[in-house]
Amino acid sequence: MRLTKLVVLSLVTVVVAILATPAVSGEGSGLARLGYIYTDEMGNVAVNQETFNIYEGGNFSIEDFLYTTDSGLRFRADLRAITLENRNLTLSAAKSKLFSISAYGNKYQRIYESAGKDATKREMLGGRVSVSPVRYVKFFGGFDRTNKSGENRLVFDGTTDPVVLTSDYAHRSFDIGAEGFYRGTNLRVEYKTLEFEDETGALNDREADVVRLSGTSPVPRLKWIVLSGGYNYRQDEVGENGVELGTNLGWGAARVYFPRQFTVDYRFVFGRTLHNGTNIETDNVFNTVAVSKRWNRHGGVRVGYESRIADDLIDRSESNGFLFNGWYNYANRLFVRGSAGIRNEDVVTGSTLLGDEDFTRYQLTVKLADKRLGDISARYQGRTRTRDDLGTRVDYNGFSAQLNLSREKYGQLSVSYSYYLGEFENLVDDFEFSDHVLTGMVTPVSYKSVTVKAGCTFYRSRRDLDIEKFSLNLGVRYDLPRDFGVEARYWAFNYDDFQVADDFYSANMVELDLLKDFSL
Amino acid sequence: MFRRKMLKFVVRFDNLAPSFSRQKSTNPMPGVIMRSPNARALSTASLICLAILLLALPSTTLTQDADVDDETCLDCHEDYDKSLAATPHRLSFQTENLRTELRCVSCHPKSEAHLDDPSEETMASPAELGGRELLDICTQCHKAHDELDNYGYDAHSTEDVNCTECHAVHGYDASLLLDDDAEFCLKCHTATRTQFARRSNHPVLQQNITCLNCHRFTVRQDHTIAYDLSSHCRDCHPEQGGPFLYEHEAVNAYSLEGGTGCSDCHEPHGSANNRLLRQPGNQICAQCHFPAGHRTAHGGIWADRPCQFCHIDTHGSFVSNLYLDPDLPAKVGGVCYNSGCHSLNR
Repeated sequence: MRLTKLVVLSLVTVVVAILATPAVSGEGSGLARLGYIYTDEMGNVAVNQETFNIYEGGNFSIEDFLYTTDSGLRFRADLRAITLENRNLTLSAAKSKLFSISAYGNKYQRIYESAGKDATKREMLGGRVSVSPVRYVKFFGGFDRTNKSGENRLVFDGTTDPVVLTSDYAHRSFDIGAEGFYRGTNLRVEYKTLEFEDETGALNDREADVVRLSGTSPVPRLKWIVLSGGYNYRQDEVGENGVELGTNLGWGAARVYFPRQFTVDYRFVFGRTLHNGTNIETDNVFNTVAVSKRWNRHGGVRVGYESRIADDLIDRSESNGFLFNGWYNYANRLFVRGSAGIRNEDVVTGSTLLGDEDFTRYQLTVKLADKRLGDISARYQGRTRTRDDLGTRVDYNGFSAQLNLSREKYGQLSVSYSYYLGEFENLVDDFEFSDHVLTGMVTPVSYKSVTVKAGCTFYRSRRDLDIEKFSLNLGVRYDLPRDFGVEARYWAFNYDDFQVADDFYSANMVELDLLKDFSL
Repeated sequence: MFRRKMLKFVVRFDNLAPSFSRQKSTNPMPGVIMRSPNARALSTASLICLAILLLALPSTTLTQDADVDDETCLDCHEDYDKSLAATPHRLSFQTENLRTELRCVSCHPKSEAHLDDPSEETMASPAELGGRELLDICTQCHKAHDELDNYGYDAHSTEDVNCTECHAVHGYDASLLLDDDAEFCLKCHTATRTQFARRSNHPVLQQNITCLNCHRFTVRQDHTIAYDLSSHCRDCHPEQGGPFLYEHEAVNAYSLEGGTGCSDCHEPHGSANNRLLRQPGNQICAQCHFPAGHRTAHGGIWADRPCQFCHIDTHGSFVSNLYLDPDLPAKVGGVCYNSGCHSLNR
């Protein structure tokens, strides 16, 4: 068990906050959890992602801690699995409209080898501060760091001689900015710097700077017109190679609120990206206009048009797209939502590898709701992408349905089923898959201090793949006097890839916890 | 150090300025602005539309409600007095450091009826409102998401998902979210929930990341490259983000070969294949590439190899414009390269 500086800092902060409570009047609450996790795994540990971050060992957590002073100062802490490698920590202190300060730390891993030998660990750490010294102005800043280290397998499935790559890098970013706002108008300016430091070779080290200015405002005396816009400049530089990528991005938008709930939106984006390695300057210009009409709480429709021009002086492509979406709400009992979009892209000058492209997408959702019982919903979505010049096509269809039942007397039940069908026509070797996913969750009401929660997920992938996954979870909590409690949680996992010999995984995991709901 | 960096940045910024003056078309009459008849017609039509729009619209004023003081409300709703005190929506009389005049009727307008008949039915609750009615209340102080987001469409706004479905008006957090846990979003996005059950997935259900890591609802998102969805991915996967000396254009949405960037090959929520790939093995490459000789040359000895055996740097490379493994000569025995037939760029 290794306690990092952040863990120590988190614990010290919470302890100080708890000890300081007599000096500051206020109230707080939280949940402390102390327990142990047992794991029993067999098979290939690299195939079941759900268990990558369940570790065996002693577990201590402080969950949903909130302390509020009478003056309005708030302390929050959510410190999960402090003692384990999958710790997930957040801390914050804030006073509304005056200041806020927060920090987070998070760690997780990915496994790439059947015995768990090759794995990468990612550690994320950061914090943010904001201060409002005067009524209409806020200053803010932050820091984020991502460290990744370990061994990663790059080669595709089914190979006998995998290539193992080493990762060891730190990615840091700092940002600082200010925002002013007054009666619906806001103006924001930000500066951000990023550094990527690769311990495996300085060749990859790089840094970037970003400046951004953005604002939104209604037009004076014409409040029904809202204008917004901004400018973003980013410069990326790879130190060792002198490779630079610079992007200028400007945008503007207007929204006009007409009577009778008509709205017109217009957006314009211009981006120019220069890569000094190829000396190619690429322009992207977008224009979008959309008209919306609402019937208050009963429904609405929106029709829009989008054009994109991409031009790098050698090649130029133009695309036109149309979109539609609508919704209908009958007395908060029946909801229908649908959308459709098409986009046709043509290469008008020069030639590209991909060539012309046609894209369509559509989806429809229907939901029936009853305040006393729950709801039932179904959703269909489809996407098609055709590249005629290249001779490839993708068809993707998905259907899902969900039933939620909720009765105060009995508890909650949720069941869902999804079906996905993907068909890829490639230049060679077409690919098809069909996925079935079934999930269920039941939470009966507590009975004589006992609370039970159970859930399961079944996944089956067929056609060119043949994979089956199953997971089950069961939790029982028993409430003891003085806000204490005990909880037992059980998980079972199973994974089988029937096309790859010995590619299976099975696990049973149990967690036993002592709980304390505390209030201050 | 910060100052030095800022200075360096400003110098770079100045250097780039001339690139704005790039001439893309040649004008046979310098000094005369050339306009096509279409452009002229378009300009005229735009002006006419603008004029009609300005003349047709009446001016709008904010609705004024009857004056019901907070003490009257709190006589009955005493719990709210306490719960609001530490929130961004604390009532104005509760703070000495007054920033915004905020009263019960600011969010619960038309409360006179409730005074006469204090039943639930007469209470003007924002949660029961929809569309413009609710927006009118919240946007007295806040900007609507779809006014801030200049790029895409705010799906929540266009499908009439109310502010109060995600935000707790009486809540504590700065963003007032009811919950930032993925489970909260997935209650409505049920189809997306099942995608996370697939073979490979982003660790959202395991709470290592949240929906908000990728889906940012305001303009504060960092669109670093023109209209590039991939910029979200680069926040956590900078090693694949470049820039590289030899870019694989499919990775960059700004390029003409770019499509949608990362999501051309990867399914972000979950995939039936490893590494969130939309297709397994060589098929993902075969959606755009099929160099026929690879399967037949030298007696077809490379036919069964995965593309990545040689093309290891699929996201971009500093050493090979074919994204080949820098150690490939050693890996394949060196014959191909020592003979002069092949190099890392040929």
